[in-house]
Amino acid sequence: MSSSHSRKTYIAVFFALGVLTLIEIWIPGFANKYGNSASVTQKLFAQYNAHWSTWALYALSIAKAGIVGAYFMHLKHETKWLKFIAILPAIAAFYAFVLGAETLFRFYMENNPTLMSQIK
Amino acid sequence: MSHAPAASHAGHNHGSGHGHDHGSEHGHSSIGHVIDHDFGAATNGKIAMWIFLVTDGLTFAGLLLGYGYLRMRNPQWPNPQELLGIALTGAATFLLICSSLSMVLSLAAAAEKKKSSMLMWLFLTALGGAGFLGIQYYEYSHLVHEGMTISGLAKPEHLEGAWRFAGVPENFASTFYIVTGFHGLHVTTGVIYLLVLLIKGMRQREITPEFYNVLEIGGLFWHFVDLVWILVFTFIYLV
Repeated sequence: MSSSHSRKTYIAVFFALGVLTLIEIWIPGFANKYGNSASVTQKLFAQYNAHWSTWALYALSIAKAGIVGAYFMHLKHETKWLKFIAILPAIAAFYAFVLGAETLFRFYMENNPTLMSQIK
Repeated sequence: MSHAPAASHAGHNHGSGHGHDHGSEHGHSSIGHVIDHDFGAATNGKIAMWIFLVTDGLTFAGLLLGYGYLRMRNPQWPNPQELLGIALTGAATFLLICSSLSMVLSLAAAAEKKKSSMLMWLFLTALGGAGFLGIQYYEYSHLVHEGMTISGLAKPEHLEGAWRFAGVPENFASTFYIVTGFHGLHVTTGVIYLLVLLIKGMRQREITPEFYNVLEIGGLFWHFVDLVWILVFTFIYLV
């Protein structure tokens, strides 16, 4: 009885997840050592810890979660509707975006008295 | 559609997923065996598990958004890597990824009706989950010993070990325990679920398509626990 479960794919996915995790663990130390400083824009973002490394970590974790869903949970082989239902919690990313954007806007305004007075 | 060859004998014809085959050659003419137009050959149990996972995913999303809000509004929030053990938790993360691999290998063995191989991989999956919980217990006991509990942080003048938390907002402790604890509860549930599947599997004389289906549904829960941890690990420990 043959199986269309591809062990090769599973093991490749496993190694991909392992390597991406190692990169993730390496990023914060690397960023603290070499980067995430010091221009004015970066200072603004630094207030909320939103360095390039943060975005890299977000991207890596979402990629890893996607790989687990697609290959280990077999979503790749499911119908469009099941894929759609499965991805619904990702709507939280929209709320996260609004929250982040509003917080940065508030921070920006509070640190620019001229802009603030123009609004008033 | 045909990643589950064993299940194709469960009275379902996988077909193209568009409802052309109605399994009439198996003598099932009842409407319950029609291949669903929207969900293909996915069984009711599998769809139900997916819907549960969506609600559970939204619960985690709510907790993480609350955490994100508290953190963004608090510029004194520390760099979590300086207070939490990344190496240890990285090992725990790797353990969960290993257990996700052993789960799919167990399912692959079940698809080939290799019972002992299926049981071995399933046992290793449960063992990986138990190992994760062991690491979490070790981590929690250290943090509690240093004065970090779910309701806040001890002050250095009250507890010698608490010097590391000087100036750290109390929400750092609460959000950490609430999010990782809720995930730990899922791992605990998952390990129990896997052990139940293991006992059920041992009682099978041979792997039936019905058991394959039950195993696949259990696997979905376990992979979800891994998937959520990937996000929790990044948001709570690394960022």
